[in-house]
Amino acid sequence: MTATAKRKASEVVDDAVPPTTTAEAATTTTTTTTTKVVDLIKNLGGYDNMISQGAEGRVFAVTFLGKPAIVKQRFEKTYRHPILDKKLTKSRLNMEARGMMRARKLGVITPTLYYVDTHQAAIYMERVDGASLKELIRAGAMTEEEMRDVGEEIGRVVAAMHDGGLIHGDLTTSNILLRARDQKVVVIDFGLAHNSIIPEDKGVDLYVLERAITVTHRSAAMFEHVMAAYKQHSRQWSASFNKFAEVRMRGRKRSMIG
Amino acid sequence: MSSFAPTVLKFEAFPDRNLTVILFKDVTNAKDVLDKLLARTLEPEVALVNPRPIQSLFALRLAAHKALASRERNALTTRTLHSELVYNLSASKHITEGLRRFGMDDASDVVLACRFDASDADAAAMLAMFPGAVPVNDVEDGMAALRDDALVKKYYKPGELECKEGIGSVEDAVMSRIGARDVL
Repeated sequence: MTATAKRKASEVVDDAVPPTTTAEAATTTTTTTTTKVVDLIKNLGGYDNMISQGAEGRVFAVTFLGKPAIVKQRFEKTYRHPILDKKLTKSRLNMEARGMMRARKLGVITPTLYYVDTHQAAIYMERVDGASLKELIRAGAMTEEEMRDVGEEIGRVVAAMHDGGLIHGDLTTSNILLRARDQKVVVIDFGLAHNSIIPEDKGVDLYVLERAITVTHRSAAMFEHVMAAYKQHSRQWSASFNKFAEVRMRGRKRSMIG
Repeated sequence: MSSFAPTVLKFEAFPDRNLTVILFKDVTNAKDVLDKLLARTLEPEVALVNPRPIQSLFALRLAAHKALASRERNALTTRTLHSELVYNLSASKHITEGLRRFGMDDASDVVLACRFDASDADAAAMLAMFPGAVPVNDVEDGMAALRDDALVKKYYKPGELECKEGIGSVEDAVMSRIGARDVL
């Protein structure tokens, strides 16, 4: 049963690939056969430079068209039905690319998007030099003043995204970088980003951020600066704050009883 | 003319392929060449790009990279590798519109001629394609000088905030629209 389903799935996939256009192949001078599957990440030497591996995908460092770049590739989940897996991977890749571009249009610094490779479920983007907020908090190297400035900047940035109807979805300190060259706040990993103007979603975003930031006594003060700046920059801060308080009481997940 | 050397772009992901680029000024026979191209009798096959709405050589390189990737995967959207290059410069999925906006038109006096994996003979044929026209030695500078910023703005619609100092540039906005077009 499963085997039949799998075979069917692969047939569908095969059908989606158009047959080799031999007439066109003849017009190009190189004689490279076109039936092979090219692995761009392999050609770029990405597999030798893995930066990190998560549950959803892997990140590689490469040089793309002369620029330092990173490639984020989502990998196949073998436990999912292949058709469902293809669908989910594709829609999440799209969500991430759209989220990044949307954030930029709202004036939030994100890595520049270079290329989305749907065939390999990979996103190519600018490599940002800098340290994550997580590392900085853990090292305890920031002064009170720096923490205030960074906190305020984060509040402003999150307010800009929320007012623009963009929910980041995973606002943790490892997804907030301080760029080395100008100490600006750069937001990364829009893999869970989605469009929403519902205060509940904004509240959850803030709650995730609070949990991530308030890991030490000193950094707890930083979150107050985040909230103060959010209030100052968001037009809908009050609804977000109410929901935030609610979420805080019950945790990130909505109760399913009653 | 003899000292002229065409620009050859390379691609890290496709080490055995390259793109020869020649920028022409003072073109007078655009209509004739375009007629041949449309009748598919133009030899060798080339991509004839309108340089005015092209932000930079980097944008062209990205479009070419995408064309090669689609070619290798037998997933070209348009008929040939070279038309794919022109189409890939567009931020929209409308093929006719993309070719019209980013391809040479019959009144063009400037053109960016591109050919993948051109031999010396191909490059010579490209130079002979536009008699009387002047090939520009420094393509990058030449493109910047010919660029029509209003057209770039019209075709790629870079946002005001995303082009602000410290956030990004018009080039960044153009790159993301070319690179992510297929998922938007």
